Amino acid sequence: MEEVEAFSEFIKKAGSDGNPIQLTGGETKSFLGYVPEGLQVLTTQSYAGILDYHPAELIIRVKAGTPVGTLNALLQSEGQMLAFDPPAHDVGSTIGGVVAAGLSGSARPYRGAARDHLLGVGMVLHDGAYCEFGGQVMKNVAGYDVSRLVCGAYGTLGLMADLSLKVVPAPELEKTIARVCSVDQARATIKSLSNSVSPLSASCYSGDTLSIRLSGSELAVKATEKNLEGIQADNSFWDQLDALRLPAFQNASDIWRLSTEPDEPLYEYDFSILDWGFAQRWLLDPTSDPRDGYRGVGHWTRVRSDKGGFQAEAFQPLSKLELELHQRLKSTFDPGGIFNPGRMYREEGL
Amino acid sequence: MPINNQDFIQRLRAVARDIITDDERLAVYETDGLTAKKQLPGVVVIPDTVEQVQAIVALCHAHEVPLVARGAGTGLSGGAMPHSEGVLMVMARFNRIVDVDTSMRTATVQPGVTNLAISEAVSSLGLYYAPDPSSQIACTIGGNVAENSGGVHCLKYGLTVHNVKQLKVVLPGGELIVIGGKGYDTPGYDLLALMHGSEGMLGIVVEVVVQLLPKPSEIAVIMAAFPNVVDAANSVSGVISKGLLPAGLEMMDKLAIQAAEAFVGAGYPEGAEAMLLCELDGSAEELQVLIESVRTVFRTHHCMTFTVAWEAIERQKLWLGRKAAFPAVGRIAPDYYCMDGTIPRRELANVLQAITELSHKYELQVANVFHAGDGNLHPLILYDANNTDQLTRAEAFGSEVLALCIEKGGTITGEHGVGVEKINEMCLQFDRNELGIFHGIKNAFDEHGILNPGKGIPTLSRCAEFGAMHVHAGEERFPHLDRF
Ligand SMILES: Cc1cc2nc3c(=O)[nH]c(=O)nc-3n(C[C@H](O)[C@H](O)[C@H](O)COP(=O)(O)OP(=O)(O)OC[C@H]3O[C@@H](n4cnc5c(N)ncnc54)[C@H](O)[C@@H]3O)c2cc1C
Repeated sequence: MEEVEAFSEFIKKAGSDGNPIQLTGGETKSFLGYVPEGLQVLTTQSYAGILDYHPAELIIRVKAGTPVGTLNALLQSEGQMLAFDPPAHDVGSTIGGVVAAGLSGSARPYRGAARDHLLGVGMVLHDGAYCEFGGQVMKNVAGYDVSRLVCGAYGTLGLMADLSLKVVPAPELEKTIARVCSVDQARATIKSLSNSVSPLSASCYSGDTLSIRLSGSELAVKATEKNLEGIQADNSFWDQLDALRLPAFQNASDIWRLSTEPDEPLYEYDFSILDWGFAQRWLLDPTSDPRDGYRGVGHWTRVRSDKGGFQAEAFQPLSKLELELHQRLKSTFDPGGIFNPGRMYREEGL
Repeated sequence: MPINNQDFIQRLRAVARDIITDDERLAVYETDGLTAKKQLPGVVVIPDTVEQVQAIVALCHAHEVPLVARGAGTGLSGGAMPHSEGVLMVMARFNRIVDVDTSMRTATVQPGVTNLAISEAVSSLGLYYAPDPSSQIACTIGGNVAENSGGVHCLKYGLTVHNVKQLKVVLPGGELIVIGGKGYDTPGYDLLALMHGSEGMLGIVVEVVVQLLPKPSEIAVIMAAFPNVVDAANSVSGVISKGLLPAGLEMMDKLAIQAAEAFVGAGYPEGAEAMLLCELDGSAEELQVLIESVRTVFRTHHCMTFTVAWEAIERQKLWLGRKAAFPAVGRIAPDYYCMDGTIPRRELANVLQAITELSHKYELQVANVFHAGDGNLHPLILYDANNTDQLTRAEAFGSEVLALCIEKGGTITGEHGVGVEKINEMCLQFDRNELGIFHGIKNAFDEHGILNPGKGIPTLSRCAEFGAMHVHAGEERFPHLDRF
């Protein structure tokens, strides 16, 4: 708890000095959202390790600075895993950072999001107070669901010091199958698998190739595999995809993400990668801002741009009503505006 | 603001014609499932349209009149208990299933649709809605969202919050907002999660888009009897440690078994001290393997009988007994008080033993029937409400169980909500800073505090009072907690 006290002192001082803080974990996600120059940095990186883990409870409580890789390795040694495929953009990526950014990997449509597996958080508030919300049990409806509110809030509400996550038994067998096919064939294959009980746990269409991951009992995986065309591919494909490390991503100067409904048409866009059963679409190297004139449902995120380091308005603007609610929540948690100012949206009067 | 304000009633009538003001008809709404708490509402309004809901909310906002939403009134924590000087808004007429999208596997429903009606409506499409509270015949999806309800299948398939994609909500100012979407995320803070379990205190839910799941190909329900609750509890931990994740894993003790058996004749082992119901799903081959794994664990813990039900009709009979257990217990005592704490699974055996001891201490019988796989306890304390001494003892008993849950690292409510019932125990679970955040969230949505006032989150002065009341017991057990 010594580190938590240090966080608390740091935050209190920042508050009384009126000196805003950039909260970071491994600092591997500064490309997401607006990060103003010259902020003092408070990192959770030194606060790493396991606080509580009883495999039979299917719950792990970790310090926020724990690297995702370390956590995954520990769970694996107990035959368990985090179901939502937390994306590790770099070796330094921390679990606190992934949860703060609300990021989920390939399994999202089939096994749920980061927020679905978050059971509790311990956080340091703007006045330095350490508070706990949620807890280390599967079901808990005491008080508002602050843990899930903090998930995906990009550290704008406070410093997440520790978190409790639901874990699941690792599948007996996991297999990736790749097949060259048309967009329509890819869509139909995914649809038929996801609309029946199947071990489908990830799907991606990119450059004429449909990749499918099956996870589950050996019986279930083999039974489904029998009916699928294609060749076996490497399971590491999904980590590469989730971490934006596939070659297509690495060569792109601009990356736009569209999160939409699986059934939404592709319209005129030439998406390079379609994953999450076509609900997450990646547009690389566009000539213009795709938000202008987009006809469909869903929302765009500017994930990378070579037009300077500028990342303001990385996220789709909110409606007036939504923005008001956001600003009111923000000022409840952070009246002095010291946590990650402007990281998601402009704050009223700050 | 007194509700006998004729001007306000006039305005309300102008918005929605169906309002109730006479005591006799108001009495229908004086309580929800927590029958120990009764209160006549100031006025009842039964709207038919979203526009009416918006106008009613806006009117209450403008006049600072308390507003309580009511679904089916099956809530067990007094969440829908009316306000004497406020409006009770009954959502019963919003009972339409608006749309079923088979490709996306979603259903768009109005908030007054019952939980079971959703699964029934999509059954012929091979789909169902997974969270299944035992009250599913009656409770509404709006109430389910407000309480973040669970059910016997939540161990594998999640709670309401995991199975709802989008809400339409009327905010306390009367504005209509869409929260979430049919995709997998939305920009900004996760307001969709925040609405779940908010007990009608942040907004009025007027439409819900739920995720439907394909029905499993085969289902088996295991019924196993045990010589004592400790063995049954240890079997639960044993199954989970083995890496098995049953669709449901429920436990009943002797009194609950006998009550359910007498009520519905489900074929339960009447002499057994404890039994488990364990549902597994998958292909027939998978099920054979899973059943053998479960059998091995149960045998290690001295299971006495082990039967497997495959046919739908047999399985339903077994679940019927479980789902009817609360009313069944209601038949063997004048009243029962249902508790809802959650604890880490490894503490199940200890806490069940402690509850037995408390039952002796307070000289009140207790029946246990609960979501063992989730560690979510439901001790039903039997008492007679006409006997004030028994009621006092039942409440003290309940409060001690909740304190025990906190002590074991758990929570005072797993799925029934805080309402008015557990408002004091909130002071044991949260400190002043945490409660301050809750009040801040409430204020961010509802600056006039019109929605369901006095529920869910205690004021600091209420905690101070409660603290004073409980100095002896409380101070000993929670020395690290702030007294306000
Ligand atoms: C026999 C029995 C068994 C039960 N079993 C379970 C169980 O297994 N699991 C479980 O989780 N619960 C269970 N419950 C509790 C209860 O059924 C659930 O909490 C249910 O979700 C309440 O739904 P309702 O429609 O009856 O809501 P109500 O009791 O009418 O209201 C509950 C709360 O929701 C609010 N509310 C209602 N509608 C709206 C709306 N449209 N917008 C905003 N707020 C609204 C109310 O203000 C109130 O705070 C059981 C209850 C009984 C009596």
